[in-house]
Amino acid sequence: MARHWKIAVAILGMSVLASLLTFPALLRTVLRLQSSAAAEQQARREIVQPALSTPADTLEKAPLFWASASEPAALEAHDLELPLATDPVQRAKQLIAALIARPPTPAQRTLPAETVLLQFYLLPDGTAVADFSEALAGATPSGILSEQMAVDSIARTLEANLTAVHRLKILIRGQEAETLAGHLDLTGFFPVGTSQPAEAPPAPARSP
Amino acid sequence: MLAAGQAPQPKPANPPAAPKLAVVVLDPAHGGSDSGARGPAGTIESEVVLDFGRAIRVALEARGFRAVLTREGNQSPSYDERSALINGLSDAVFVTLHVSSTGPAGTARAYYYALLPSPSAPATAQANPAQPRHPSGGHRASALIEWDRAQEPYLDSSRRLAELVQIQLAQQFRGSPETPAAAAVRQLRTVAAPAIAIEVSSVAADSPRLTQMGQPLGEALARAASAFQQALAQAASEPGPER
Repeated sequence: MARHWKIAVAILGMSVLASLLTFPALLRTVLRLQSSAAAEQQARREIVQPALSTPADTLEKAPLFWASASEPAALEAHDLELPLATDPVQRAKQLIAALIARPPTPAQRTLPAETVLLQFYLLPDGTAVADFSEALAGATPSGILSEQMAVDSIARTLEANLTAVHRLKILIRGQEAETLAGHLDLTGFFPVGTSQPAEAPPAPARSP
Repeated sequence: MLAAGQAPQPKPANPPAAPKLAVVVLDPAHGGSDSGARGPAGTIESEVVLDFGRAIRVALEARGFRAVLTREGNQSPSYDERSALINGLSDAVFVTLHVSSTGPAGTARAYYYALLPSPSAPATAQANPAQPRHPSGGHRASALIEWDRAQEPYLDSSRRLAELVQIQLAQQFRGSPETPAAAAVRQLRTVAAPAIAIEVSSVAADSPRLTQMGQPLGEALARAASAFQQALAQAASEPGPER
């Protein structure tokens, strides 16, 4: 065998040996990165969204609305024990954060996991303004049903846990969006505190 | 000559033209760069709904209706352009076609517009339009339409149309709900005519299976359109409340 071939084989052999030695470490790193993806997402959420708990919070059982496990296209309430504030704005932030972070199963999720509630305002007339990150619009599955369920889950959770909220306005990164994910109209207000959150009002009386 | 004490009687106004249904505007949603929902097997909503639109047009024309599509190919008209197409027509209804991302496969549901309270309305009072209505549920011919709330005077007739369509959908597609639902579907808000959305479940199904739903969907819509036409004729023949 010629000398240059011997050198090439030796280099190749050393490369293979080095790869074998470093492979387990590389594998461990990849697995660690994969497992930390969820933690990173959580950390990102914590950076964007300030801590929601206050010392005055009390542990309460609160009904939160996610997709029903048994009935397709319906929402159902799950009682969750949460530390909740008495201040309605803080309370609403805590409820929506739990709605995003703690669905009973992934299939029952109504809001994308990466969604962040950027701000929540409550006006004296009962108008709640919830300002979400772009993920709400970008990651909600496109469709009338899925978008309606996303909004209804927020409205019904607020309705069940806050008496001060009468209607809901949804903003995306501080701006009014035309639709949630291509279907549901976000230019108006969603009624809160009615049994049928998005029902049309009764027909007006005909003029005499 | 009038007798003493007899007030002059106002001349009876011309009654509004009897509403009828001649045209169905079919709106295959999305298009262009907006492909809508995408399934795991590559099913694309904008393509499936275009196939639905073509199949429904055939079924409607077979029943003597004129059917107009808001797009014939992969164009992407705006919401307002789609609305403008029907707002320039009379005796027409609007049906926007969608495929969902979720929901029980092989089912279909009709939606009518859920009126959201006006941004300027107080939170405690829901919007309650008190406009005079045309027998079809719409406005009087002389009334001006506020573009952003064009659907408002047609809520009753849109709901009726959705009910008739849903009856047919439930018969054609097992497992579909018995009643339509209210939803604030953006496309419907600017339509000044009876208008509904139909959403078929879902893009999780493969494209050929979904495309096969086009023909029964057309049948369902054609029957519902005939029933709606009859309902309009009946409403026009009945003496209504004085307007």
